[in-house]
Amino acid sequence: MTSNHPKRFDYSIDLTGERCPDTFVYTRIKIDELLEEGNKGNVLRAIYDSVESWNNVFQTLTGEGLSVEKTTEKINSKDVWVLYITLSFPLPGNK
Amino acid sequence: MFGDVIYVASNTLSDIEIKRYSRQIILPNFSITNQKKLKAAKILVTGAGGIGTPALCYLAATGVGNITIIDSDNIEYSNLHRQFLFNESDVGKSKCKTIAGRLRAFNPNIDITPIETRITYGNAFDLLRGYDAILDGTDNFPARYAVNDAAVQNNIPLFHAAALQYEGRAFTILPQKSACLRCIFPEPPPPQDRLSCREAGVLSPAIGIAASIAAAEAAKYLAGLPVALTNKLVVFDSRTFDFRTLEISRDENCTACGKKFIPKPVPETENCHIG
Repeated sequence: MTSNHPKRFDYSIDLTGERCPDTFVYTRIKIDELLEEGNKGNVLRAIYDSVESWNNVFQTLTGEGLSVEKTTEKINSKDVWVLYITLSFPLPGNK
Repeated sequence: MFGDVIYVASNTLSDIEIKRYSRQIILPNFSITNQKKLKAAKILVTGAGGIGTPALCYLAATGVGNITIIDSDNIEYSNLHRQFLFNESDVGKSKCKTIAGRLRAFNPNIDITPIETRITYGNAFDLLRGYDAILDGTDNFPARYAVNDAAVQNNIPLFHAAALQYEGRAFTILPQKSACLRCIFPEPPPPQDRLSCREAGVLSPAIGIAASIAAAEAAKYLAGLPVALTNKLVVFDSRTFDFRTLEISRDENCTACGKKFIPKPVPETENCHIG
């Protein structure tokens, strides 16, 4: 999968085909893993094919204090919903 | 109060483990780091009976990676109404070996070690070594006091639960930091004050509630999360669902965790299983 979006990201997770709440589960676990590996400040791109998941995950992560940007993009000729998540503390359990 | 979890977290969780524990990992104040601590943890559950069965289910479910079970009894028909991992076809078999098999099938990602022996004041101090936590599911005063004294002397956090009739109780003991069983009950009640055998029934879900409280405390501690029931005794009555939390405190003259340890075994003749 390639992106035509110019935004910078360090890691990417493709969650197309997943539905709530698994979209949040796998996004959150990926964030946990990356923070544990010392990736504070790096950007994770998360790709969804459901606008509902996109909105829910955005709302939850911003509620936990993370900086998240929402975009819609066309990847491999397919319309997808994307979050760019800046990895930062504090996140529950990673303080 | 935060638990002083000092063991090193396991480095990896498999994809299946991540999926299995995903609804736990995404809890507020929880993360994959906490799950790895659970995987690395070692807990001993003393007794595979009414308290032990539900507690073991939840400890295995949450992913505590190393669980040792001590019990010397064989399964009886009268156990089945509250020890729900056993079947009628298991009657006569070893409790701890049978429950170990069920738990391995339930969660093959964790290690289960059964030890078929009876806990006494003479062996408890050696048996209760090398664990990050102990959950006490013993059902008699000699064993319960032996577990308390050995746990606090070996400086191992102890998660206590008990139930009788419709009532239950639970509390958490962090040695040298919070009250132990002997701080609040220095001795078992005298035989004349105990319930008779006829009075010694127990409502199965009530014992499950008490066990679940202790298992929740133990799992939180092992995950590195704060525990709630230090210096607090939670008691409940399942007839009314009146839950009360009683403040308790350490006794500096406690014979188990006070200034001077004084071994005080409860005579084995007081081994009626209605405590």
